[in-house]
Amino acid sequence: MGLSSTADQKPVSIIGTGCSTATGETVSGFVSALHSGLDALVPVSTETWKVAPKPGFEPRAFRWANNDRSSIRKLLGEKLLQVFKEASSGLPSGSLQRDRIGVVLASTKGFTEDFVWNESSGSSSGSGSSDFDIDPLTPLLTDFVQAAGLIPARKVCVSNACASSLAALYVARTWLHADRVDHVVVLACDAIDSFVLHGFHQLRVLSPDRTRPFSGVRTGFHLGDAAACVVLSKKIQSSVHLLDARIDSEGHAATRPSHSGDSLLRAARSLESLNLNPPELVIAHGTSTQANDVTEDRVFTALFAETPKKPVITGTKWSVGHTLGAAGLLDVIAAVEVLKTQKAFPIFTTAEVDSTFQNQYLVQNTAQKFALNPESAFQRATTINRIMVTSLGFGGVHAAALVGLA
Amino acid sequence: MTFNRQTLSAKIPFPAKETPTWAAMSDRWYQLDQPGYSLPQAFTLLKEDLGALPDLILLASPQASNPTDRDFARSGANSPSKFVHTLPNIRAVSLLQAMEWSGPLLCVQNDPSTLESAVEEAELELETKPELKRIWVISFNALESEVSFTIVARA
Repeated sequence: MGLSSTADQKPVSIIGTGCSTATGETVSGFVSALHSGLDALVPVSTETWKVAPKPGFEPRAFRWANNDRSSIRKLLGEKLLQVFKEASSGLPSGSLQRDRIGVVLASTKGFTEDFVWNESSGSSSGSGSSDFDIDPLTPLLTDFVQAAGLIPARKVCVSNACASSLAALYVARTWLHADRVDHVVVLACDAIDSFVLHGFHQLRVLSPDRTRPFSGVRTGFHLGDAAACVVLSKKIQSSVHLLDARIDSEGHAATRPSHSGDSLLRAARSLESLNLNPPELVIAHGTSTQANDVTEDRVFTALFAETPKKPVITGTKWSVGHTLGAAGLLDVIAAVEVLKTQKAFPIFTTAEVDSTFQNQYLVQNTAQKFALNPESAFQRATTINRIMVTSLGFGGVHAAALVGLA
Repeated sequence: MTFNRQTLSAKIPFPAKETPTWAAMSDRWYQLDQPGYSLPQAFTLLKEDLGALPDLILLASPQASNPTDRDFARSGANSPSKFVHTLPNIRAVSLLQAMEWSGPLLCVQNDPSTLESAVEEAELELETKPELKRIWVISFNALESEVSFTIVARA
């Protein structure tokens, strides 16, 4: 896809990152856990649930520790401000206030948890307006902009299910290429509480065991709290670029991708110069469901069929859970750190890769077919210049992004 | 760069009183929530006037999936068929099946200006990507039971 003649053709740099997950309140904590295999899965207390869990449902999730959850809107607001402060801490003073900025928020459920259980369809606060009159994302964006002291030239929320983050990056790139903004603050968040836990339990995708992406004994995933921030810029350049982000959708089914993965394949194939300069590493969506992992393996096989040196594939959901709308942004942050340190991380919880899979997966057990130890020849001999990130979302919305060294 | 906008709308009664013509193309059409049913039904009614299919779709979902979310919660949070629809982009599945279309799709929110924001995003897409010729911005108004298609194209 080419750009119009009026579009600014400078690369889009990733100039700041910040995140908060169950494994840490900073990017450093997040990355450290990816390399150490930290187990942050915890039971979820259901004492305050408006609808009690059914017998046999004992929810577990990757959760922020010791937080007041009486207001998810307040909790997410604090987390978004926190991750933004981390992401913007290294930027030239005043640049986000002085220059033109855009703000995009990616989330699936926002603060739905706060009002969805209210019996009355009217106001929950006595203010006279219904909580159902407005989407559960925009107030988070408004709260953030006010708290951060920003005056954005553009702002919008993106809700493309679990592909929301990469879709938000797609929107951000459009704004930058149209020269409407100098920088874009891309935010993503989702909090895991009774609404989504009940729902995913009903869909039978929550694992009774661990999240084991691409494993032959995978049984699903666990959900995870997360907030993340990536600051993009064309005005300030850095050593890591967001080379491209593409989206696609298919009307196959609501909760699973097509077996062929055509939609994800289209999104990935349209990434700029993917064939000329294929990635050395892929951070896959890797939810550990039967359907998702099969589809991604098929897509990667087709995508890199003609690539002489196939990329190695890893994922983050074993470490921080499936963070829904924040998943893609966390994966991009992980990609940035891998590019900077040249150290990839394995899927710690997967001992045996599915024997039917065709690709190379980065796992700990080097005896497995196509399995590579992080300390192996891949690590020593390969310079990681480009990393592809993939996301698959309910409703058949899929996305792929490419992150690379300048 | 200037753009043309054309809006077509249809009020869709719900629940359905008969099997829709697109039923065979949809998974369990009878389990669709109101937006999920209304979008393909409106497309079918407006198909001739809508003309060529789009290169990109923007879903502009005021209130996101709030009514469906509430329905899931109030029914005891135990129905997978209800939970499936508790995301504002899910309503596009049945629409895409009826359209027999696949391609880039964005679901945006910016209440109370969700539709206006989506149209602005559509114009920026056309401005920066010459391969895109026409974009549909599709909105469901729960209060009016109305679906609108705004066709955005370069002038």
